[in-house]
Amino acid sequence: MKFKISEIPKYLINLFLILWIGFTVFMFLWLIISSFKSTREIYMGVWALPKTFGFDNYIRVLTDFGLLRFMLNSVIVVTISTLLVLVLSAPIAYSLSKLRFPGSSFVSMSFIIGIGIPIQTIFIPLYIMISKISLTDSLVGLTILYTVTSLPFTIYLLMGFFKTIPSTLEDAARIDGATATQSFIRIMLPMARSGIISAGIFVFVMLWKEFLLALVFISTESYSTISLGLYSLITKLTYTGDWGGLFAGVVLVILPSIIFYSILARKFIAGLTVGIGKG
Amino acid sequence: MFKKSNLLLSITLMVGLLLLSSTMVMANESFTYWSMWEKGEPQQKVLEQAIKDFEEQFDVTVNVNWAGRDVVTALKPRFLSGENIDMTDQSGEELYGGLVAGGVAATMNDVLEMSVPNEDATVGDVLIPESYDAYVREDGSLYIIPYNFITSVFWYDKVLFNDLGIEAPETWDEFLEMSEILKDNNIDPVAFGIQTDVYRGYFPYHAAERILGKNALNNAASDPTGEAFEDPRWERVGDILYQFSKEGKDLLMQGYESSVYPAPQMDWVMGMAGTFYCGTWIPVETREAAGENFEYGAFKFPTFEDADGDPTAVETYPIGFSVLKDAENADLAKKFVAFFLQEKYAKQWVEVTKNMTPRAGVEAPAELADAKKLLDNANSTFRLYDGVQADQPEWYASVFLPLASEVLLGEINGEEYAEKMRTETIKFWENKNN
Amino acid sequence: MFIKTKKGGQSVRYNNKIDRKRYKKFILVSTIPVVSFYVIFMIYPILQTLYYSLFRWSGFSRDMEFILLRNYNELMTDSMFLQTVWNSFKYVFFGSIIIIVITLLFTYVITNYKSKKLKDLVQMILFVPNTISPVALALLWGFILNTRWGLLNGLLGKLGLDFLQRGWLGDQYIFGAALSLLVWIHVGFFIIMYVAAADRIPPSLYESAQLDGATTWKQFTKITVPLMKDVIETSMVLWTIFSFKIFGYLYVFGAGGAGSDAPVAVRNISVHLFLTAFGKRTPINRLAYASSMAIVLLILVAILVYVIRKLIMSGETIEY
Repeated sequence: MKFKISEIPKYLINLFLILWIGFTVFMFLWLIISSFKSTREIYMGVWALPKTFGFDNYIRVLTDFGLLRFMLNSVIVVTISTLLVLVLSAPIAYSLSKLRFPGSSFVSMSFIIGIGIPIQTIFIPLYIMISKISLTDSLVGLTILYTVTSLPFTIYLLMGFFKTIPSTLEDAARIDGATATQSFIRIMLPMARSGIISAGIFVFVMLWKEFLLALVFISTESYSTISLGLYSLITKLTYTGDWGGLFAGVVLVILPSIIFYSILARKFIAGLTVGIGKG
Repeated sequence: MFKKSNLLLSITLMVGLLLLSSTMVMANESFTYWSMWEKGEPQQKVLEQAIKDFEEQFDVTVNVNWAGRDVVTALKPRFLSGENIDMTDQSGEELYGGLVAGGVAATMNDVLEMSVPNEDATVGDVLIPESYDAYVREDGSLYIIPYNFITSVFWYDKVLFNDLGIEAPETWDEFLEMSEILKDNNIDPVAFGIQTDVYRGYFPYHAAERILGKNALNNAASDPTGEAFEDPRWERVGDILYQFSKEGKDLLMQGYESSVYPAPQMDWVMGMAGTFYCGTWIPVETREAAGENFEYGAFKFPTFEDADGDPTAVETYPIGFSVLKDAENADLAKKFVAFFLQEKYAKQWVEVTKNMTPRAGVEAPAELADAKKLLDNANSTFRLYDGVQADQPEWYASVFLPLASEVLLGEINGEEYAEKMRTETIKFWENKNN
Repeated sequence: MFIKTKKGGQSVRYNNKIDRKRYKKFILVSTIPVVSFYVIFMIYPILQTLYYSLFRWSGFSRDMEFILLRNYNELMTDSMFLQTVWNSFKYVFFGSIIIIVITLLFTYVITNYKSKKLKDLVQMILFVPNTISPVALALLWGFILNTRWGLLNGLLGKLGLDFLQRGWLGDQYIFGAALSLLVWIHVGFFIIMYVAAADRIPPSLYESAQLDGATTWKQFTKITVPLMKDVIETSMVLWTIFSFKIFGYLYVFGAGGAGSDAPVAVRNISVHLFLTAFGKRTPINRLAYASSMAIVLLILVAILVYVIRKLIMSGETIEY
C-alpha cells in the first residue's frame, strides 16, 4: 500500500475510527476485568489488574438473583412482539407506500408522528386501560404494549423499503390476473425480505433494551424482563456498596446481548445492504 | 350395577363437597404489602423471616411484593386502577411527600396503642419517640410507624484522627481547627460531591437548623412574600456555607464541583478526605472498601455561638410502614406492624442490616455507636431538609438546590445568598400562583 | 380515483374499476385492524393526557380539580421546565451536527475498505452500544468521566495530557458529557444506514472522476454525499425524534445511583416530565402538570418534524 498524500484525510479518519473502536472495546474489557476485582480494588487502581481472578463476584450475583428467569421472560416477550409487529406492519406498509388510496398520506403522516410520541405521555391512561382488562403485570399485557408502540417506527422503515422496489413486477402480476394478496405474498414479500429482516432485528434490539414500560407495568419478579432485572440489580448492589458484584451483574446481562447480536449482525447488515443495494 | 355406580357417584359428590367446604373455611385472611426493599437485600431477609413467622402464628397469608426503592412511584398507577394494596414502607419524607400529600395514607395512631404480640408492652411503649415525633402533624395525626432509624452525621476515621492527634470537634471553631490540621497533612477536610443533590442539601439545611432552629427553613419556603428571608440570620447561614466553598475556607475536597456518588464516600474511605457528612448507612456501603485499618467515628454538625437552634439536635430519618387509607385489610396489616416491632426482630435488624432500630433498649451496631449516642443525647430532632423536600418539593428543586450550589461553589457570598433566597422565593411563588 | 404519482417512489397505476376493487379488500384488511390498535393504544391515550392536563392532580387519588389552561400558563414561567426545553433543542441541534459529521466521516473510510468482512466487522462494533441497556451505559459513562479515578482523566494523565483533565461531571461540562454518550451510541446506529446507502451507488458513477485522478476524498464529497442526501435527511428527522424521546440514558446519567435525580442541566423534556409526574427522591408528584408538559412535548416534536421535512426534504428521489 503506497502512501499517498491525497489520502491523508482517509488516514486521519481511519485513525479516529480506530481510536473510537479501541475506546469501545477497551471500555468493555475494563468492565470485564473490573468485575473480577473487589470493591476496594476497583477504586484503588483503576488500571491495575485484579490480584486474583476469582469468580466470587459472579457467584454472589448469580446465587442471589434470578437472571435466567429474566432472560427467559425477555426472550418470550420480545420475540413474540417482534413477530407480531412484522406481521402487522408489512401489509400496511405496502398499502401505504405502493397503493395510494385516499387518505393514505394522512395515515402515513400519523404513523410518522407516532414515532415521536413519548411513552410518558400515554402510559397513565394506558395503565388504567390495561388494568381494566386485567393484563397488568403479565407478559401478555407487556407484549401487546411492545407490539403497538413499535408499530409506527416499523411501518415507517418498511414503507421506505417497499418504496425502493420497482413496480414493474407488480404490473406484470396484475396483468396476469393475480389478486392483491397474491401479488403481495408472492412478489413483494420475497423482494422486501431483507428489509423485513433488518426491521425485525431493529425492533428486537429496541425492545430488548426497553425498560420504561416494563418498569411501570411489571411489578413482580417472576415477570420481570432483563432490563428491569438489571436496574434492580444496580439499585440493590449500590446499597450494599458491592461494586464488584455490580460489575459482574452488568457483565452477565450484557454479554448475552452482545453475543446474540454478533450472531445476528451479519444477517442484519447483509439484509440492509442487499435491500438497499438492489438499485 | 346401576345402584353401585349411583352409590359411588353420591360418595364422590359428598367427599367433593366436604373438601370444597373445608377449603372455603381454610381460605384465610391475607393482606398485601409492597415493600421498598429488593429481594436479596439484608433488610428484605429480616422482613421475610418476620413475615413467615407472622403467617404461621396467626394462620394468615401475606402477599408481599419486593418492589424496590421506587415503590411509592410504582403504587401510583395501581391506586388509579383501584387495586387494593394495604401497606407499604419507605422513609418518612417519601411517605409524607407522596402518599400523605396525595391523601391516600391512613393514620397510624391506633398502632401506637396496639400491644406488641408476644410481649407485654404497646407499640408506643417500645418505640423511641424521637423516631417519629417529628412526623406528628399539628392535628396529632401520624402516618408512619418506623422500624428503621437513620440519622446523618459527620463521619471520620478514628484511626486517622488518633494518628494526627485530632479530637472530634463540637463547635464550628473546633471544626475549622480540625480542618487546618487535616490540610497540613494533605488531606481534604470534607468529602463532598455537589452534583448529587442528597449531599448538596445537607449543609444549607443543617446550618439553618443550628442558626435559626427547627422549621425555620420550612416556614420560609412557604412564605410567598419572601419576608422570612429578610431575617439577618440567613446571611449568617450563607456565610457559613460560603466558608465551606473554595472561595471561602476551602473545606471541601478537591474536585467537588464535579463529583458524583459514589465518589465522595469512596474518596473519604480511602483516606483522601478526613470527614464525610452522610447518613448512617455509610458503614454498610463502605465497609468493604474501607479496609482493615479503619474505625468509624461520628460527630454531629457543629454548633455555633449565639445561635437559636438547639445545639444538641440531630436529624431523624425514619423508615417505616404506612397503611393505606382505603386498604381492605388494614387491621391485619397493622397487626403485622406491631408484630414486627418485637424485640427479636429489632435485634435481628441491627445485626443483619447494621442499621439502628427505633426500638428502645436495643443496642446499635458497633459502627453506629457514636451516632446512637448523639441521638440519645439529643433534646430534639428535625426532619431531613427540615421537611422541605417533602412539603415543598418544587421550591426545594428550583430555589433551594440551585442556590445551595451557587453558594457552595463560592459563586455568591453570604449576603447574596440571603438576598437571592428572598427574591427567588418571591419569584417562585408568583409563578405558581399565576 | 387512484392517483398516479411519482412522488417519493414508484407506485402502482390503476386503470380501471377491476383494479380498484381488487386492491380495496387488501387495503382494508391490512390497514383497518392496525390503525384501530394504533388509535386505541396510542392516539386515544393522548387525548386522555390532554384531558388530564386541564386539571390539578397529584395522581394518587381521584381528586382532580379543573383549572383549564393554568398548567400551561405555569409552564411558561417555570424555569426548570424552560431549561429542559432549551436542553432538548441543544441535543437536537448539536447532536445532529456532530453525529452526522462523524458518521459521514466514518462512512467515507468504511466504504473504501476492500474487504467486506472488515466493513461488516467495523459496523458491527460501532453498533454494539445500541444493544445494551441504557441504564448500564449511563452508569459506565459516569465511571469513565469520574474526576479522580475515571478512565478518561486517567488516560489523559498517562499520556501526559494532564492539562486536559477536567471535572467532566461538573456543571460546565455535564451537558457535553451526556451528549457525548448519545453521540457515541447513535453514530453506531446511523452508520449502518449511511454505509448501505453509500454502497448502493453504482461504481460507474465514479469512473469519470477516477479517470480525472480525483482523490477518494474528493469522490466522496462531490459524488457520494450528494447522492446520500435522502438518507442524511432521514437520519436528521430520526435523530430529532429520538433525542426528544430519549429517557433511559439521561434518567440515570449523573444521577449517582438512587441517591438523587438527574441534574437539570442534563434533562430533556421527557426525563423532566417523568420526574415531575413521579419524582424519585424529590416527590413532586404532579401528574396533571406533567401531562401538560407531555402535550407541549408532542407539539414541539410535531412542529420540528414538519419543519425539517418541509425545509429539507425535497421529496424527489434522485434517479440513477
